[in-house]
Amino acid sequence: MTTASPPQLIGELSTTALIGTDRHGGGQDGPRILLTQAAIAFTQARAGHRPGRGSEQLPPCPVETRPAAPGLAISLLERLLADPDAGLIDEWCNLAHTRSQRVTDAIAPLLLEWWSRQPQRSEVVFAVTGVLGPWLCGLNPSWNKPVASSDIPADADERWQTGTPAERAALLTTIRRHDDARGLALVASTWATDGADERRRFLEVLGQQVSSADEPFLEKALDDRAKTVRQQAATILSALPGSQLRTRLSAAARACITVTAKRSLLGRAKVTLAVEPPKDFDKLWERDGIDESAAQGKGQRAHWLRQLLSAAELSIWSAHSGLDASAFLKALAEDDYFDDLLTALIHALSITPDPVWTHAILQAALDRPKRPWQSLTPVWTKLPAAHREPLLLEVAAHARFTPQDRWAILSAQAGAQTGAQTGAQTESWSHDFSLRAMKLLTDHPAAKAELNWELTGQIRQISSSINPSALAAFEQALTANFGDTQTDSIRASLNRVRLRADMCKEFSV
Amino acid sequence: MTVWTIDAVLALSPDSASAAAGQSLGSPRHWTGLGRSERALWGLCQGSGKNPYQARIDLSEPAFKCSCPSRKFPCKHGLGLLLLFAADAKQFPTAPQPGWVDEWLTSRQDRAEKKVEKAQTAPDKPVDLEAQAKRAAQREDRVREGVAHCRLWLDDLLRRGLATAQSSGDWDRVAARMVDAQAPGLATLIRRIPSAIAVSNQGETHWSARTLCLLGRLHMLLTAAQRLQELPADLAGDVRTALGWTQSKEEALASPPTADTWIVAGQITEEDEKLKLRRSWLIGKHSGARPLILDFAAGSQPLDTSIVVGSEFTGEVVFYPARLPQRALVKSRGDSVPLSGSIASGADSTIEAAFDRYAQALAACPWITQFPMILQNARLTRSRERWLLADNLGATLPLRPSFCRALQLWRLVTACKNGPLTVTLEWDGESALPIGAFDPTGRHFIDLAPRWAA
Repeated sequence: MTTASPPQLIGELSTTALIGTDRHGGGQDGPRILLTQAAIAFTQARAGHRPGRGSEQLPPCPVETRPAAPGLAISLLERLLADPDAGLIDEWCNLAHTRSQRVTDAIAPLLLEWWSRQPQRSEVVFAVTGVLGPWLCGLNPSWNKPVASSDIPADADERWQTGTPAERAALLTTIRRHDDARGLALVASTWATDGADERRRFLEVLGQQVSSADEPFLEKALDDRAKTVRQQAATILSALPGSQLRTRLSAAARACITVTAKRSLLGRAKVTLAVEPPKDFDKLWERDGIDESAAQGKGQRAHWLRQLLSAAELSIWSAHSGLDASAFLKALAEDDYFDDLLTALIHALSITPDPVWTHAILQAALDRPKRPWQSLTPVWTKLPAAHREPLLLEVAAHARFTPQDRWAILSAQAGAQTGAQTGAQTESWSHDFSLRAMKLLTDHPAAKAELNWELTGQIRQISSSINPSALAAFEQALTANFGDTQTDSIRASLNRVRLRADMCKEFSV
Repeated sequence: MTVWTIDAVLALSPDSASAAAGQSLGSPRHWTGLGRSERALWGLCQGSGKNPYQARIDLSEPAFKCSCPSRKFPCKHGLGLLLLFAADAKQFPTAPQPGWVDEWLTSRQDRAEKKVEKAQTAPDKPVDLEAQAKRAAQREDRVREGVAHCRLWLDDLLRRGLATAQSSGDWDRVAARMVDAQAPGLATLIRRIPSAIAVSNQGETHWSARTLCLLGRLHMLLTAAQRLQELPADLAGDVRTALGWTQSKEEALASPPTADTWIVAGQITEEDEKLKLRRSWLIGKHSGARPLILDFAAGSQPLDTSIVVGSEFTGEVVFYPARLPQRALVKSRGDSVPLSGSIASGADSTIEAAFDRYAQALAACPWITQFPMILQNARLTRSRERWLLADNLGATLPLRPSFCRALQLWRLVTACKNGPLTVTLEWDGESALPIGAFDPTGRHFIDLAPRWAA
C-alpha cells in the first residue's frame, strides 16, 4: 500500500488504469490490486468530500410594489407559455400592465425566457415582471434587458464618435426614443464626415419618428451629394404634414387641376374641373423626390401627376375649387385621369388622415366597379378608430362585395392594425364594431363564403383583432358560413377568441 | 386537505400530454356544476360526448374518478379540475355532495374497509412454494454466472488499459449481458461509464479517474457478490439490492414501523426507456428519519397519486431491511394535509453536518447513489460563474450543471430573493441537485424538480 495523499493516489491509479496493469508490470493479480486500491481511495474521497468556501452573495432584490395578477389569469398565462401564441402572451401582458399588475415569482423566469426569444421584444412584457425582471436579467446575461431611458449610456457622445455603423444606428434609435433633439444634434455633429450609407441610415432612424423640428436639417439633406441620401430625405419630408416640400409640391399639384366657373342661364355659378397633367418635367421637382421616368409602358405625364397629387396637402382642393370633398370628386368623375387622381388621393390620406375626405374618396372608389378593394387599404392606416370603424362597415356592406370579399376586407384591416403595432398597446376592435362586423359576415344575402386557405388565414387574423366580448357573434358568423364543417384551423381561431374572452374575464375579477 | 399549488397538481400527471391537456381544461369556461365539500371536489366538463363528464376528486388522498373513457390516470379532466382549484378555489362553492360524488366516496370507503379485512384474514391463494424456490435458485445461478463473467471482463479491461476501451458499444454489450444474467444493478452501473468518459473530458477530473471510480465501485460490488455467503445478513441484503434483486414488500412490512408526521420534502421522476421511476423523499418531523418512497410505472401506467409533494401526512412508515435503512413503504396513513410549519428539527443545520451524515452513510453502504440533504438557511451564491448553495457559515456545495442550465435554477433564484430557504437536494458525491425548497415559515413549498413540460 502506498502512503500518497488521496488526490495523488487517485492520479497514480488512473494513469495505471489508462495504460493497463500489464504494461505497468503488474502480475496476474495486477487488476484486482489496482481496483481494490481504487475502490478504497474513491470511497474515501467521496466520504471525505469537504464543502467549498468563499463565494459571492447575490445582489439584493428591490421590494415589489405592484400587486400580482389574479390567480386564474396567472394560470392562464402559464398555459399560454406552455403552448406559446405570441399574440396572446403580449395581450395578456398588456392587460396586466394597464392594471399595474405583475406576474408571480414562479412564472417570471418562464416569461423572461419566452420574451428573450421574441424578435419583437415588447417592453410591456418586461414591465409585468415587476422588480424581478431587472434583477433576474442582471444575473442572467442571456436575457438581455430592453432599452429604457436610463439605458442611454453615459458616454453616448463618445460612442457616437467611435462606434461601428450598426452600433451608432442602435444608439441613435435609443436616444431618439427619449430625446429627439439630442439625437438630431448627434447626427448633425458628424454629418460632414460620415459616409453616404451611414448618412442614409441615420436619416432612416430619424424618419421613424419625425417632427417639424427635424425639418430644417432634412431640407438641407435634399441637397446632399449622395442620391440615396437625397431620396431618403425627400421620402421623409413628403410624409411630414405641413413641410415646405409638401407646400412646394402642393403648388405644383394645384396647377394640374384647372377650374372654370361659368354662370348658367338661371344665374347659378357652375364650376367645371379638369385634370391637366404637367406637360414637362420641372427639374426642381427632382430635388423634392419626384421620379422622372415612369415604368415601361406607363404614361409619363400620369406618373408625374400621381406623384405630385400624392404629396400635396388634401386641404388645398376645397380652397382651389370652392367645392367640398364630395362635390370636388363628383365634378371630376368623368375625367380620363380620375383613377390616377383617386390613387394619389388615397395615398395622401395615409399621410394626413381626414374623415371627410376619406368618406368622399371611399364613395367615389366604390362607384368604380373595377377598382379592387385592396387599393383602399392605405386609407385606414392613420384614421382614428372612431372614424375608421363606421367607414369600414360601410365599405364591407357595399352591395358590390361578395361574402368572400367581406371577410377579406375586415381581415385586411385587422392585419393592418396588428401590423402597425410593434410592441405597442394591442388595440382590439370596439365591441360595437365587432358585433356589426360579425353581423355583416353572418347575414349576407348571397351565397356563403367558400372555405379556402386564404379565408382560413383571414379568420385567424380576425380572431386576433375582434373584441373578445363579441365571442358569441364570432361563433355565429362561423356557423352561418361554414356550418358544422369546421376545420382544425377554424376551431383554433375560435379557441383563440375564447381564450381572449377568458383572459378579459379573469382580469376583471 | 392540502393547499394545492399548480406545481403539485402537475406533478401528478402521468405524462406531458396529460399535463398539457389538463392545463387547457384548467379554466372555468369548461366547467359547470363546480362544487366542493369537506372531502371532495367535483365538476362537469363538456367533452366530445353528449353528456358532460363527471369529474370528482377525493381530496383526502387525493384520488380521482371521472366518467370519461380515458385510460390515463388521473385523466385530463381530473387534472384540469384540480388545476382550476389550485388557481382559484373561489370557483368552487361549498355545497352538499351530489349523488354521483357521494356514491363514489362511499364505495371507496367500503373498498378501503374490505381491504383492511382482507389483509387481516389469511391470503386466499395458496402459494406454490416449490416453484417459487426453484425460480429463486435459478436466478441465483444466473446472477452468479453473470458476476463471474463480469469479473473476467473487468480484470481483462484493466490488464489492457482503459485507453483501449473507449467505444461505447463495448459497455452496452456487457450491460446487456448483465441484464440477461438478471443482475440489472450491474447493468445500470456499467451503463454510466460511457457518459463518464464523454462528459469528464471537459470537467476538472480526468476521464480515466471518473471511469476508474465507477469501475472501483463495480469491483467492490462484484467482490461482495462473490462472498455473499460470508457477509452479515443486513450487508448481504444491501449487496443483493445493489445487484438488482427487489426486496419484497413483506420483508419491509415485517420490520418495526416508525410513526411520525411525514413531510414530502421533494419528489423527482426519471423516465428510463419504458419505465418511470419516482423518488419521493420524506422527512419525519419528530424522528428526523428520511425514508425514500420509490414508485415505478411502466408505459402510461399511473404513478401513485397519494404522495403529494409539499404536503404532509401522519402515519407509519416501514423501512426495507438494510444496513442503511433508506427505501421504505407507507404502511398506514392519514390524509394529506398542508404543511403545518417548521421542519427545522430534522433538517441539516450546516453543510458540514450533512457531509458527516453522508460519510456515515457511505461507511454503512458504499453503493448508495442518491443521498438526501435537507439544508437549512441555504442561499444561492456564485463563484466564478458557477452557481453554489451556501449555508449559514459560508460553506458551499456546487450545483449540478444540468440544473443550472434549466429554468429550475431561476425558480430557485427567484425563491431565494427574500432570504434563505430550506432546500431539499440529492447529493451524488460530486454535485447537488435541488428538488424542492421551503420558505422560512415551513408552510410554503417550491417544487424544483424538472417537470414534464420542461
